[in-house]
Amino acid sequence: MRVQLGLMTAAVMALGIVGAAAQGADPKFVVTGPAAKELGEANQINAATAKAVVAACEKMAGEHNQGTAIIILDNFGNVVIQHRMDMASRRTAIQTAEMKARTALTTRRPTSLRQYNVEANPNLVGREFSMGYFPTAGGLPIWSRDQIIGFIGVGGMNATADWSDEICGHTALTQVIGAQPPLPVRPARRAAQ
Amino acid sequence: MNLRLGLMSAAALVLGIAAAAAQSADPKHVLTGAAAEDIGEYNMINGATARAISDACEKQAVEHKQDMAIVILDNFGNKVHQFRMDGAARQTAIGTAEMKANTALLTRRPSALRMYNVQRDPSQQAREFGMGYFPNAGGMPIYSNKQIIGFIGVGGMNPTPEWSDEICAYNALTQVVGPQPPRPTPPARN
Repeated sequence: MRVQLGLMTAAVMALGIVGAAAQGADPKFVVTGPAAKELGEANQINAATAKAVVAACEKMAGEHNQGTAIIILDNFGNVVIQHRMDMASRRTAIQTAEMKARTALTTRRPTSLRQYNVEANPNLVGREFSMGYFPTAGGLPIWSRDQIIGFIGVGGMNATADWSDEICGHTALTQVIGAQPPLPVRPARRAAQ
Repeated sequence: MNLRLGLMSAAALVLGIAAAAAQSADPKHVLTGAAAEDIGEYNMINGATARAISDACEKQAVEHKQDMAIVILDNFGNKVHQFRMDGAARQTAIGTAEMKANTALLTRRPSALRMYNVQRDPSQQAREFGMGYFPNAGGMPIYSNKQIIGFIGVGGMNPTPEWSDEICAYNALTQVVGPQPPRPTPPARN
């Protein structure tokens, strides 16, 4: 009986450890070793991952004949990498990318949610800006498993039915880091009254 | 006589064009084509050059077993590229790199000059910060031929006699863009 109980306890413990490991960020994508120890932080996107995400988004933008500006913040809001393509060398692209990433940072949600709120109720626009948000799609949390390890902002591209700053960011994250939560669905427009 | 005058004029024109070409930025390192036309600007560092400078500085930092943060601004002060290595994931590295680049942008000179001024006369410090400068070495203009095409700021490394943020930036610029004006010399200590 005691052996059986012991075995069951060990099995539960092992399952618990596996569960805990599955919940944390994948070590491939975060700062580890002395750099993490020095910071006292083990859930921060690392430089190699950030570079790869930017390169993936840049490549897709090129394939869509567009230029984009991309920024990646760590989980505390410091810049890890920022890059603008030659066709996005305007402040409107560079700055909006950062504003989107910072909105995702402060809300821990995709910025398109805020855009859709404003579209549904334009009275909210003043409130959004006064709270320091930039209610435009293109900012997303970066998830590794069920842990947010940073934030991305993409700006400067012309949106079409099947292409946008947000899609570029989301697809790049999925390619480099793995599955991300699905993008928010745009609510149906109200019929003209 | 007329022929000789004509030849001389032609030679002067060719020389003038050659001199002007030597003064303007190398097209390899600036926006060209549709991107330049779109913003009406032909002296702005391009994305590929900015990334190559960042990579060159990162490589040297690794060789010196240090970590750095780097910012590259275009000739108007917008960010073209910014990057921090994993061991420089602190605002003290990332923020100072940006402040150095902005100081170089505002003064169009290496930020080391401002640091040396403060070292010579510490009472200048408040004035420097009051004017929005960050008087620390590591920021400099990016020259292509005789044209400034952007600004660089590097932060986060521990300086030694033969290594510093400024040396990393300077070497990277020289490797990627070509010869740069010599770095300012620190004043002799009293």
